[in-house]
Amino acid sequence: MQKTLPGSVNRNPLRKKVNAFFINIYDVYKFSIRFFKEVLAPPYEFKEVVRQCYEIGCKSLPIITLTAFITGVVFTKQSRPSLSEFGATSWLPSLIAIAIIRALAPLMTALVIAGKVGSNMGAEIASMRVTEQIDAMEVSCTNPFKFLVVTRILSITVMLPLLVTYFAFIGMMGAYLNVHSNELTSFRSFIEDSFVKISLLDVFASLLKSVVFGFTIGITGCFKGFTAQHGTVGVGRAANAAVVISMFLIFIEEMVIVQIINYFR
Amino acid sequence: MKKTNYKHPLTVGIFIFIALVIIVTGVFTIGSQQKLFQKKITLNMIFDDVSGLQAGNNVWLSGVKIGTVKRIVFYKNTQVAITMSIESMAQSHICKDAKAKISTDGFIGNKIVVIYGGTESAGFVSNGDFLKSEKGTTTDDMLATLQVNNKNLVEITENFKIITAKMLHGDGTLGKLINDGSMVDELQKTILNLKHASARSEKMMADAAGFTSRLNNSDGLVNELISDTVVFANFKETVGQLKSAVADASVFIDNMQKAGSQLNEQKKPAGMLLSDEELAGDLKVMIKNLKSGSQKLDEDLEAIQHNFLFRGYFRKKAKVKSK
Repeated sequence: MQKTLPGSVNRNPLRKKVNAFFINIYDVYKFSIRFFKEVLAPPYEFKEVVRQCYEIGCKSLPIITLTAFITGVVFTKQSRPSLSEFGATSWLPSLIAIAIIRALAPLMTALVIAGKVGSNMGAEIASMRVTEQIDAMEVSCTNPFKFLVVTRILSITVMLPLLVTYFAFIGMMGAYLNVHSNELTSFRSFIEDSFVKISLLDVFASLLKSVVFGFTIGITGCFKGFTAQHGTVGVGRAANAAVVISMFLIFIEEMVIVQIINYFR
Repeated sequence: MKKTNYKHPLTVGIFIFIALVIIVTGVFTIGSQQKLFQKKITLNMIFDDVSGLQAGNNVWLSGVKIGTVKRIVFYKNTQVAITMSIESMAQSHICKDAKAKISTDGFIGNKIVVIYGGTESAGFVSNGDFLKSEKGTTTDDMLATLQVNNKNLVEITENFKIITAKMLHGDGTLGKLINDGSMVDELQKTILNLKHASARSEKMMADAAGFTSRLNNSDGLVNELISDTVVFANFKETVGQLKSAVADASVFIDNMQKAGSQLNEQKKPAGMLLSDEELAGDLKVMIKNLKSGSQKLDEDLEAIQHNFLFRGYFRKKAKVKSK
């Protein structure tokens, strides 16, 4: 149902869209506040959280492994010619570590998970909404928000940092294989060189970003699914909007967090 | 009864455990590499120019990373104070009179602080000490030197251009050599002469080689002098004796000269003998008198032998002689 401000008449389409946008933001704000209230209040849906962790984390491992490995190998291959121009191929491990740990691991993982899990969340909850399963849960004294939304957001917020860590590890291994095959660098030397420019702040920033990205994907997917309308068309729209908005927000957040972290660097 | 499915919690648990292990390993690797878990001391320096040094840049001692730059602040009006965080392990290797300069890690690497020099007698640094700073060679300095080199190179090429132009126009010796055909003929003649000269010198060298080979002959005097230690010793001794003989002869000649000079003096007896004519006449007369005197004495002595007083004595003497 289209919401309007009380007493207002939306005749101007632009004004109507602007109003809808801010109303949407307010709804997301209320949705987020409700999440924080519900996550702390019992009863806790541990089993559902673990199941969602499995669905989000463990089932995403193959695609994350593939993406991370290819990213590591390709990034190394693409960086080599530029560095070899001035005889600095020994800087490859350091460059790759900076790129993967600081930026690529959180960003790529978040984008992949937004595509895989965010759309899944949006579609799943939206289909439950349009088929009135959520209403049925409310009727049967089950809190659908806690069971469907809180567990998913909590799971993805917890699992994304772990997936990012896994991505970084696999990406570095892929980079090592490429560096080793070309420069015959030993594993120890590669690791020593990799962490020369990496500080604990970088690791912390990367984990912080992944938590924020995870929460963003979860909130966006669940909100779009939970507020889905117009039948099966709404399910598709919710899934699509969950992915697009998540990705958009991930890039915005990436830029903001990098600025904040650089302030402390 | 509903059977509990343990597959999901176990898988999730293993996944979380592995991820945590990776995070912890990474944190400890970074920590150990950046010496985050070691005791540290603080050292300070004051520079006029830090050349883009930043907090977090490395500090090297003898090529080993021993710490990082902790803080960079302005000091007084134009100077910059640097605070460095140094491993306490390296404290016993940094002398109080050690110096520090800002350098670069490789040609295009990050800025670093290099601590060098110092004497053990000055003692070792303690927490909060100030090190002396020295201006290092920056990339700007190198570029300035390169700029000077470039200018020189331009000047050299310009000079070379002038020289080659002169050569092409036939100016100067080289130009004539290149352009003048007669010079080539002269040069060819010179080369021919040189060829002859070299042939002669070759012959001369062969002669010299023959001569030296003869000198090296084991029966030769020179070879014996060089190689036989006994001959050399005798030769040395002979030379010594000759030297002393020469000295004696010198003394003898001096004496002779002295005697000769005395002979020339008419007042001296010898000189008088040689140059006084009157004395010579007297001496002639004296000798004449002596001669006649000795004849007369001989006659007198003959007469004595026949005297009866001495006859007996001479007879006895004759008898003893005959026995």
